[in-house]
Amino acid sequence: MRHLLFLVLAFIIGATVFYQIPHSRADSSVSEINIHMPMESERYRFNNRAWVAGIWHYVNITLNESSSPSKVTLILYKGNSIPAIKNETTYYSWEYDGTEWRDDREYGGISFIDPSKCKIAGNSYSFYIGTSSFVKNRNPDSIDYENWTLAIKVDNVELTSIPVVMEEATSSISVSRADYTLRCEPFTETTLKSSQKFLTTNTGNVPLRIFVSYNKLDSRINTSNFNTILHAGEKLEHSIEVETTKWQPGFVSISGTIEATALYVIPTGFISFDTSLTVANVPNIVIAVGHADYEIEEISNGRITYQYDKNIEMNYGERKNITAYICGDGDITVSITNTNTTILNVWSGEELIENIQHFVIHSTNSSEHPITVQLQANKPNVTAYLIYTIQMGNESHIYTTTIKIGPEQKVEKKQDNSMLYIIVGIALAGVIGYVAYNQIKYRR
Amino acid sequence: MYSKRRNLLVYGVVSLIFLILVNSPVSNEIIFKIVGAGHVDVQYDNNTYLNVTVVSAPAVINSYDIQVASTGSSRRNAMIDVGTEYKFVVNVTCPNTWQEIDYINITAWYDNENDSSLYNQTKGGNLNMFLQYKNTTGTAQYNMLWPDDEVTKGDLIETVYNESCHTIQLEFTPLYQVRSAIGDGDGWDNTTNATNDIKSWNFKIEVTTSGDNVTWVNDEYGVYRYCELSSSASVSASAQPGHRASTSSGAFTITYKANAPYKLNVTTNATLDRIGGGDSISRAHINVSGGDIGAGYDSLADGVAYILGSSGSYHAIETDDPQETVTDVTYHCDIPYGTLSGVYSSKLYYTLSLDTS
Repeated sequence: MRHLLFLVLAFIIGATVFYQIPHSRADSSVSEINIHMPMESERYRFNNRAWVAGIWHYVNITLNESSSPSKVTLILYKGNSIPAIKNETTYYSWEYDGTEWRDDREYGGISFIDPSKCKIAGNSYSFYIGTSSFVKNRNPDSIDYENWTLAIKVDNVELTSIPVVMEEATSSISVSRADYTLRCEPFTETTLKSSQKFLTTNTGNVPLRIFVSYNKLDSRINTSNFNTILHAGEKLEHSIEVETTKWQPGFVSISGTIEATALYVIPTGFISFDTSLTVANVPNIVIAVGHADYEIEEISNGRITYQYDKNIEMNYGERKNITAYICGDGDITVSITNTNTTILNVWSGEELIENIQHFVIHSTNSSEHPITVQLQANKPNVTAYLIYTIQMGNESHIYTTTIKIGPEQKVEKKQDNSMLYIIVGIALAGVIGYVAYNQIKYRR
Repeated sequence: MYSKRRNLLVYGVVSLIFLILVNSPVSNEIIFKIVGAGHVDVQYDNNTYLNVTVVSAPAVINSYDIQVASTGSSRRNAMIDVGTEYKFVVNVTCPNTWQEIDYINITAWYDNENDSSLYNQTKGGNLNMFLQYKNTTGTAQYNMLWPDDEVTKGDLIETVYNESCHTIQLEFTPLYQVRSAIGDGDGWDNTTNATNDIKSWNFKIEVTTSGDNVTWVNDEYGVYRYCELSSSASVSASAQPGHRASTSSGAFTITYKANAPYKLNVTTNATLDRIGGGDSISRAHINVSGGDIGAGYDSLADGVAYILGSSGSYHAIETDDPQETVTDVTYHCDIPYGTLSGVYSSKLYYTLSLDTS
């Protein structure tokens, strides 16, 4: 009985050791396994290598031994044992037989290996292979996956196997902070540079090539970090520069379009679409062409622009010139009224206006026409208003400049007693001197 | 004779000096201090009692701001970004003691292009927020009363300066469909305690004491537009010539996030070209169903199908939830007779457009 027990135990130990031999040998024979998409780094999920289904990958195998095997085979299968039913959703196999790189199975006329991109370098075998996009999305909140196994055989002997997470191929891009309001002076050529940068992020697991274009002024807008690859999980910052021309006052609105094309997609099926994502109207750039701190109003469908200071401050008693600007083709009737201030003069261009309630400006779009109002703030601590009525044909607009007038400055007039002190001092000195003189002269 | 004149002169000089001294401001101050002007004699009345009522005075909001949580950079009258953590910072003094502070309520809402709008006037988790500092139980609490899953609540940071003055910081992260608000396009008016830029988020900070005194300020900030679009990297279907090849319903999901009105359309190249050449299929044979199209079909013969929204109008902003999905989009290709077998490939262009108005 004891002998029998000993034999059973010895058999179990022996079988276990024997079973372990291929794996031990494998670990010592395959020095490196690397799985990655072209131009991408190796990715991991749940501490296992991730492989995106439906996307081309390089699978690089480096053997320790310097032998020249006659055949290297890769087998990729669902789960952790070779499935009984082998199809595109459960099993793939590729091999290199010393002369040719090929699929080890038929996939309905579709090949999942590109021999032109496979190569050998020393003991390293680089397979350029992929699968169909069999991993379907079941959870919209995350990238779906299945657990598979990659086995490596050399001359029909399995050296090793590793778990692989097969992921659903997801093209995904996000764009944020791409709203710009820039400002430039009228009729001035300059380069507007945004301090703010906008972000594009590849929120999926497929590399994307990104492009940007604009609905106008495309050649005058320079956007950094485009026409490049946005790697899986990568976030890029983009700055914008706009070369302006001599624009007349008003607003220039520019809409961008960002296109992100999924790379390395393997076409399968009778009809096959690979995805290109486009986000339209981003970046959105509004360039306000006008004087700094001025309100810009577009009249008559943008044909005329009126610029004015919306809020100003004056000291009580101060005299100030306030200038508004008109630009655009047409005859414009202007009326100016005010409260709580005194209008001293009004000029239209260089011309002094007699009737400020009604005067006509012959405006052109080649220059700005200034309207200058000279004001005197003669009431302290009040809010004053300067009201412009702009009329063009039947169209009339009223714009108001609000003026905050400060308090009366109380200047404390210190009583100047210095003269009095001098006189008193002289008198005092005289008296003392006189008394002293008398004391000395008439001392008795 | 001399003696009389001298005495008269001395009196005159002394009088003059006295008058000067009396008229001098310095002498006035010294003299009044010495004399103790304003002093009133005390009368005692032992039948009178002194009753003192301590009145609960209103709190004073010394300062307030909305800042980037990680840097402290102010975003008042400036833009914030979804997916980034911010904090409201409020410095308050309660004249008697901090224990009299009951609540500091911070409400914020998209103004819907109306500076006079109110919190929750237009309902929706992506349009309103209500943060509360509660101090009624002796232990301060930070609660996010609204919304639930459109904003992530962060931490409460309270700094005690003295018995009556504290600074509280309430952290929060607006998620990806919180309504964009890019301002009126003419720059932000930086006036303090005012809501004077339309297309912004207005906020109101209200401090309520145990005596029901309420002190408040209001102001505003903007939110950048955000969009995100995700789809399966490829779609395929198979059938024989003369039959319809359809992708299976639910085979893939389009996920998107947009914090402005939006539309989503799809198009392809003019033809699906056979890999290896020799044949092609016109996109006129392709129909799309699902999304706003529903169970019907929108042909790609005209080049485009609108999955959400339409050519002339944007889909309304989502008032709730941080993300949307479309799971029922299906592509159908009626494969013409005589088409060579093989794989016919094209790009599928999804375009998510955000409203810029």
